Amino acid sequence: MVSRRAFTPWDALVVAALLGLNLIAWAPGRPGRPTGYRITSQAGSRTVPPGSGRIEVPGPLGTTVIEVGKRSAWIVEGPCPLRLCVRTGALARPGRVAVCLPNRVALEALGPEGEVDAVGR
Amino acid sequence: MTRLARWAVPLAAVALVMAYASGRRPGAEPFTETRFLMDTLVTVTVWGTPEPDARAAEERAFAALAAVDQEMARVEGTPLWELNRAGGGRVSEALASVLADALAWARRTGGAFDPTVAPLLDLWDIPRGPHPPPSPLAVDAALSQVGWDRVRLDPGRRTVDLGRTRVDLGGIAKGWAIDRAAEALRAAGASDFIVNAGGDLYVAGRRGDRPWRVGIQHPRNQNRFLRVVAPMEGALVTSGDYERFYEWEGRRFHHILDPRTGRPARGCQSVTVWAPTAVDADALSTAVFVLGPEEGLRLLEAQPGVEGLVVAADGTVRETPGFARVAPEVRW
Repeated sequence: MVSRRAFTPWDALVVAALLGLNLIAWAPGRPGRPTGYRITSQAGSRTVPPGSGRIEVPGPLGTTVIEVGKRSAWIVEGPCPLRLCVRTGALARPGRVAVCLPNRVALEALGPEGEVDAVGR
Repeated sequence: MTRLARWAVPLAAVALVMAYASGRRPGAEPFTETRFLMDTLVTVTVWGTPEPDARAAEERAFAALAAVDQEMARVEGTPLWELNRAGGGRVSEALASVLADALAWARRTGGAFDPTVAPLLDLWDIPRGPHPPPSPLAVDAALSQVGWDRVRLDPGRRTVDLGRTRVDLGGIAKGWAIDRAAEALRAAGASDFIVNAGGDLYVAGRRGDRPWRVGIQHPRNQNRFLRVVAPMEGALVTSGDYERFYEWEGRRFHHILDPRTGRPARGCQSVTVWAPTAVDADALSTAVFVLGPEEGLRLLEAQPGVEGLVVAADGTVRETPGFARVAPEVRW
């Protein structure tokens, strides 16, 4: 039998919960962690998942060593003279890039909603 | 009250949640292709175009970039290499166009941008890594071979006399190539895209229901952005002393050389320029970096339709009055 009360406390609870969900859905999103990393070299590009560990990438000058952790990835070692790729440090946000130009190796952090779509540098 | 009326409010709320959630779902992703070209990492990103069309458009963009690279890189076998070797000659339409732009910017910037810096770049050889800086005598000798006003270009006949100088188009050809890539993408039907050549960008359209977001690299902290902006359609090009540099006895030696002193320019950490075309933004970002914050900002303010942001050597951030209009800051 249908209750004759128009709006019960339970209805109010349901409405409040749904409005809360609305707020969560409406609130501006925060960038998350990378869901993968793209490694580009002269041989082409490949994507690896977080936690892939140590990866050696050959290039024209030698081998660039990349460490892909669960939360970030970074270039550990490279044969380039300036070592700017190593100085870049850990990539922990989608959209971040570390590049070894002399050895033609790039490491990019990927994610569905990155902090940024491109970096001006 | 009927059962339907009683549940109207909760049902409406559910509908709203679903609508918002579907709008926020990552869903469609832009198509991105990355390659090494022009001695840098190039990424072309296209949004909202069916995959085969987006891939085809990206291929055309990369072909346009590669064509410029094969002609204007200062490496053995390219037409620019041959031009430098011969000291002049007849050039292609593309090379004549870039040389004309380069000389025009050299004139407008009083030589702060100078395409004849090749002898200085070779002398300093920054990419070789840490080594003692060249002697003042060697710098003076290289400087004696620099001077944009010695170059004679006949645009009609497409002939060039280098006047005993040597040309390096590294400060402008990348911008010109980015513009050609943007043209190629548009011709292929793409309207929402980013061409990113080593951090020099051309940004067009939007990423779906929001504008493209661009982080401007902090010049002294690789893990921070100076600012995140949503640039208007056009080019956003940055020159910084952190891109190619080494340190020697506590001093930073970087690749942006002042054609007037023959040494790395010392007035800025980074300069970001927005302009309708990447060729102009590219030349201007170098010139402003060389001129330093005061004179550089004055130069920018004198250029119609161009804006910029400068990080001075002491870390102070200054910008032209219209920079926030063409590249409004994004907070999310």
